[in-house]
Amino acid sequence: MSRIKIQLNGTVEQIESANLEIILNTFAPKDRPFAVEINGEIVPSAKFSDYSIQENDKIEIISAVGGG
Amino acid sequence: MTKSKLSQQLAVDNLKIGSHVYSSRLIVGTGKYPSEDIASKAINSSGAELVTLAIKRFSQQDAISNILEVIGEKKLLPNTAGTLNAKEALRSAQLSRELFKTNLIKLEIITSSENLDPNMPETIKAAEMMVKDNFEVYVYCDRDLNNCLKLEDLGCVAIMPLGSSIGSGRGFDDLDDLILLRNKIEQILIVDAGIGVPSEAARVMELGYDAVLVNSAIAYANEPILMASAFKNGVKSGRKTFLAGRMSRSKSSIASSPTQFLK
Repeated sequence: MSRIKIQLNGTVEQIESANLEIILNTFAPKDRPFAVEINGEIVPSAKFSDYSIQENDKIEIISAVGGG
Repeated sequence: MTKSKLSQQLAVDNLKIGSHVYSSRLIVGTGKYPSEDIASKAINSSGAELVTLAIKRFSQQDAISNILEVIGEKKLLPNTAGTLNAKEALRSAQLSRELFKTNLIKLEIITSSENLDPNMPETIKAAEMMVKDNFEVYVYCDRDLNNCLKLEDLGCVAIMPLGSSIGSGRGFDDLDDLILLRNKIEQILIVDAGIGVPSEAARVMELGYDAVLVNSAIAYANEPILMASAFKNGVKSGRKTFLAGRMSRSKSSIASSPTQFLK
């Protein structure tokens, strides 16, 4: 199976599935909310299962931290 | 104010900011605490209903800490910390809206990673973009009257001038600036940044500020939980003083006891 090169939170990753939901199962937190941005566009969670990643896509997975 | 009106106001002295109503006038940050347990207890001890938090890239190293569990049932005010221009701040705000399902945002654009004072041209630009994008904008800003008036005109729901540099604990670099702002700004005014002790929080509340935002002064205290409680009392005391109205100042002494013995 050909692998897809993406940038995930600034790090280059080689992934096997183009399906966003499958990717998030590996890389996103399971115990807290998170938001996803791909190439600068926010992807609503309702679209995760239908979203196909392309080669060189830049994915950001964002979660909460303490702050003032 | 008549006595009955004053008692009514004290009984229900809520703070309305935009579409939300709060019974506490202390907003607390959630960063820099020595432990999650202390953070959780200090936040509760402060009595704050609205708490700030930030966003960042998720990493597995962060997985042991979940700030949302620490915060518990509070209203969230996400900030745009770390952004240097209006475009980044809007992106941060939109990500926060998706993540936290809130349209509240604390707009905070710093000058550089070394100078945390607000970048005002970019802040004003971002405020306009965010208000148009239906955010309720609480804006961290400098103490310049024209800048604050501009942010008020743009529709920010709270104007939040810094007392002194973020995390400095210096209190107020120029209290006269803050007094002038209170006299000229009708919108909600909150001192954000620089407050070091509860008496400083009380001082601006006495001047008629609507609330204060405190993080480092609580988180860096030797006993954060106790300090959070002290801030809660300081803010309440300052607010009551403002409502009660201070006595007028006199250059000479005015007796409160008889001035002549046995007459």
